[in-house]
Parts: sequence; structure tokens; C-alpha cells
Amino acid sequence: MRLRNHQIKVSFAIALVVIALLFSSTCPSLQAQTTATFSPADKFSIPAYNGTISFAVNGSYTTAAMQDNVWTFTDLHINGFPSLATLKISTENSNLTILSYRIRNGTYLIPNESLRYSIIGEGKASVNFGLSNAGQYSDADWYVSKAGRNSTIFLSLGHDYVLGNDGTLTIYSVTGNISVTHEFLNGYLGNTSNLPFYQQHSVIIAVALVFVITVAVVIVIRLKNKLDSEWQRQNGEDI
Amino acid sequence: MAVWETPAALVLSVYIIAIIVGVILIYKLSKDKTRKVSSLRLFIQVAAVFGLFMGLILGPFNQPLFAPLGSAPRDHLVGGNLLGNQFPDGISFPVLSCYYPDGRTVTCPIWQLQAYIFPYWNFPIGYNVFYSTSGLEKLAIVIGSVAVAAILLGRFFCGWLCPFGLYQDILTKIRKAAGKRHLSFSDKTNNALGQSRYIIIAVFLILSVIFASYAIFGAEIVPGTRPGGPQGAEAGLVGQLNEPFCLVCPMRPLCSLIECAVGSMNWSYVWTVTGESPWSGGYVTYTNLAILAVVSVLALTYRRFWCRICPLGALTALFSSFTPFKQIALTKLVKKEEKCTSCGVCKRVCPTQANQVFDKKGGDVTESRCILCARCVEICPYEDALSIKFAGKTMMKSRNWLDEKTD
Repeated sequence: MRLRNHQIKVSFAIALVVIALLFSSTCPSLQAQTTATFSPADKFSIPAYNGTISFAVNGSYTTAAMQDNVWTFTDLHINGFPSLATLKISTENSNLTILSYRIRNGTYLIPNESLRYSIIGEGKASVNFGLSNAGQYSDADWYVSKAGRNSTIFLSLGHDYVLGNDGTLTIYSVTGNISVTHEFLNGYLGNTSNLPFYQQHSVIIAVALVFVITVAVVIVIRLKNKLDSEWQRQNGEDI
Repeated sequence: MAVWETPAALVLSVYIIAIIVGVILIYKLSKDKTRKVSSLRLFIQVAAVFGLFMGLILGPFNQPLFAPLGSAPRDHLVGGNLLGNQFPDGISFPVLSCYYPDGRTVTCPIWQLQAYIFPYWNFPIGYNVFYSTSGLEKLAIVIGSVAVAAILLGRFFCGWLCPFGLYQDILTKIRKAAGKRHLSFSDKTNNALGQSRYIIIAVFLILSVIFASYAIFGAEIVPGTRPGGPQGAEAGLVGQLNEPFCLVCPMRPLCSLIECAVGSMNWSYVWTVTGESPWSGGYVTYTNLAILAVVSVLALTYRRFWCRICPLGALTALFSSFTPFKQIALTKLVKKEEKCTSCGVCKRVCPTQANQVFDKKGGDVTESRCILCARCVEICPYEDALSIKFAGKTMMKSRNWLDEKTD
């Protein structure tokens, strides 16, 4: 009886393993992801916009798909820049070459994402880093610059580029080597508005206290000196 | 590399030689009855330079030899001061203790005022330092520190502790050694110079506010000056808008060049300067060098020339020489009218041509141009006619050195 029970248990376990193996072959989430590689020779064209996107160096991605005239690269890896990231990018009447795309999430540095590209033609491009943090839509967290001959020219928000509500940055009519950087500044600074007043302004309060104490001590010293000198003068007069 | 070949050993050697030379000099000078205070002041000035740049001999210079010591004491002094990481650049000290070179233990308030307006008003990182407090709070610390220091000691800092003051005093000694007499400005010109320093500090602070307009007011006046914009070498000319006064300050090239000479800073910091415009560069610009040269020549001719236009001196004077601070300032130059014969020697020896010590009848004769160097107290030949008082106590007073000499 005991042997029979044992056989049933083993058979049941084997059946479970077989079912699991069969199920895993049909479940996409458990499949090993495949990556595709690209080289500078590969062009990702956007026919409706008369634009092409390419890369300056070799790299790889998991998927690359165009939807609504925007190329979306998932798990994008550019040689020399080890990060994996999602990038949505489009261009109109231009040829855009991605030079680098870097994401830093170090504990020492503020998390930041930086894309550098070279563009010829009309110079219109839109990029979306696919950020999920809450601070991504603050325009203070973004800066866009163009490498000049001897210096860097910082482009002007509202004039040279705009930031959409979905975090898409659209740059207008700027050709050359462009750098787009997002730094999670507002998120890093944190929000202290929920703290009590004395905690929000503890530094200013501490400085003001030190200042007031200094002034009070100084006034006491001066009053004491004044009283002493008057007392000495009176005593001198009495003598 | 042998120990004696390390930069630390080289700097230490320079310090030891300077101390020995200083002690011999002070000993010789103290024999002169009219140079006793000046000798003491020289000693304190030299000691202050050592104190202000103490990190030069305490720092490990990132060398394997010092690695077991961990972070340098100067890093604790500069990076982790009383207020911790909330105020990482070091306590404000109202002398030109330049932010840029290695080894400083405190920081120039002018640099801090500018930097905490732009770019660190609400930009939390720069030069590998976190600024977790708001710009307003950082400014409060700077202004509070300067105000407290000025109420306690006034412009004593300028006369006795400022390294650039020492540099100008050395230039004066060189001129004297060459047998040349100093020149003096007319009272009108000197007054104009004295007033110009308030304009200088106002202009540079207004510039910083303009650059920080996006952070403060939400409107970007100068393109590229939003937080996160002008950082590092890639920032180009806009990156040079950080701390605009430092681009013209003569102290920055002076201490950078000296530190390069003693091996504690890399010459590349100075010689990569140059490039695109007179304003661009890392530690030293063409403009810096040109102004240092001009100020040096003028300081050779006119005693303590820079102190007459120094914006940091103006800031200290604001908190010690003007109402209501003048009434509560603890350190004062006091004159007893009944003992004064109006000989005018006090006015003649004053290195900044502060004339209230002569013109005013008596009582508190401290003024915004007075650096409390006590040269007038030292040279006045009338017993107790002039004195430096701290909290009502006489710290030093004039004495009848003519009779002492006769004796």
C-alpha cells in the first residue's frame, strides 16, 4: 500500500514537471529574448517624413518597430555605452545619426540620460527616453545643446525646442551635433512641503538664531562696559 | 618615489623654510620700536596663510603612501563641516581664501554668494559635491557667517588674516627695499575707489541673479543658464558664467600659480586656461592674469590698493561700519581727542588712506576703509591717544616711543 502511494506521488511530480515544460514553451514571457544587431550601414527610414535614422557605431536591440512615424528601440545597446534603454526617436526631412545614448543610475551621480546625435537636412527631430519617474516632465530637468566650433551653444526652450506632456522633446531646425540630456533634478531634491515649518527652514532658523544670540551677547557686553565706565566716572568724581 | 619627493614633503619643506625665515624676520623687526605691531601682524598673516591652506600639508594627495589614512583631514574640514553635507564648501571666512586651489580649510564668501545664486540655487550637484539645501538657505549661512564675523572683528580680517593683504604688504616691503616712496590718491579719488567696491559687489551679484533667473523667477534671461545647463568643460562660454567675479579676481591666479610652483597643483590647471576667450578656462583666465598684473603694479605704488576696491572688504564693512551694525561692532579703533596733537602721522601711515582717524574729533574712529591693521596705533607717539578695543577692552594702544627711544 505504502509502495503504491509512493509511485502515485512520483508519477504526479513527473506529470507536473512535464506540464510545466510544455507550458513554458507556449508562454512568451519565459522565452529567452533574442537580440538583433545593427551597424552604421543600417538605415531606419521614415518614408512619410522623408527621414532616416542610423547609428554611428555597432550595437544591438531587442525590438525595433516604427509606429506613427516614430522608431522605438527597446533594450538599445550602443557599443561603448553599456546601458540598455528604450529610445523613441523620429526625424523629418533629415538624416539623423545617433552618436551615443547613455543612462547613468549611479548612487553618486544624479540619475541622468544623455543622447548625442548628428543631424543634417531640415534639422527637426523628436526624442523620448521612455522615462518612468515622476520628474521627467519638468522642463528644468532638460537641456539641449549644440556643439559649436569652439564652444557649446545651449538651445532655448520654447524657441529651439519644446517638451511635450508625454516627455517627448521636439527640436526644430537645428543641424549639427546635438546633445539632449535629462537629469532627474527635481526628483533628487525631494519635496519638503509636507514637513513642519521648522524642519523645512531649519538651516535659516539656525543661522538666524546664531545671529540673534551674537547680537544679544554683543549688546549685553556693550551695556556692561557703558555701566562700568559710568560707575568709574562717578567714583572718580566722588573721590 | 621617495617620501621627500612627494608634493606633501615639498610643500612641508616650503612651509618650514617660510616659518624659519618668518621667525628671523620678526625677531629682527621687533627690535625696531615702531615695528612691534607690524612684526606681530606679519607673523599672524603668515600663520593665517598656513591655517587657511592647512590642507596642503594634511591632504594625502591621492597617493598610495597616504592611502591608509583614508580621507584627508582637509576633506573633513571642507566637505564635512559643522553643517554636514548641507553646506559642503566649507565655512565662509571673510578673507580671500580662494575656493579654487587645493588645501583650503574655509571658503571665500564672494565665491559662495555667487555660486549659491548661480548655478546652485536649486541645482543639487557640482564639482562632485551635493548641495541638498536650497540656494536661499545656503545664502543665509554665508551672510550669517560674514555678519557674525564682521560684528565681532570688523575688517580685522582684512588687515591681519587675508592672504592677499599679505601679498600686498610684501609688495610694499619690496618697494621700500628698492628705496621708492609710495604714492597717495587724492581724498576725492580714494573716496571714489571706496564707493566703487559696493558697485563692484552689486554688479556681480546682479549678474549672478540674471544667470539664475530661471531658477529664481522661472524666466530664462540668458539661454543655457537653466539648472543642469552650464556644467563642466562641455558647457563652453556659458559654463564660465558661474561665479563671474572669480573670472577677474586677482587672488585666483595668485594662489593657483603659487600652488603649482610648490607642486600641489598641476600646471595644466593654469595652462589649459587660455583658449577661446579671455574669460574661458579652468582655474586661471587671461583676464585673471591681466588683473593680477595690474593690481600688483598698483599695489607696489599705492599701499594696499586692492583693499580699497575689494568687494569682500565692502561686504565686511557693511556689517561692521554702517548703522545699525556700527553701533554694536565689538572691535573698534578709538581716539582720545585730549591726547591728540593733530600731528597727522596716523593719516600718513594709513595704508588705505582712511582719514577719519585724523579728521574726526575723538571716540570711535573706525570707518569702512579702516582695515584695523593698527599701523596708526603703532606709529602714534602719544600715550594712549589711539587704541584698538575689543568688547571695550584695550587690546593695543599707542605709546610714547619717542621717549622710549631717547631712554
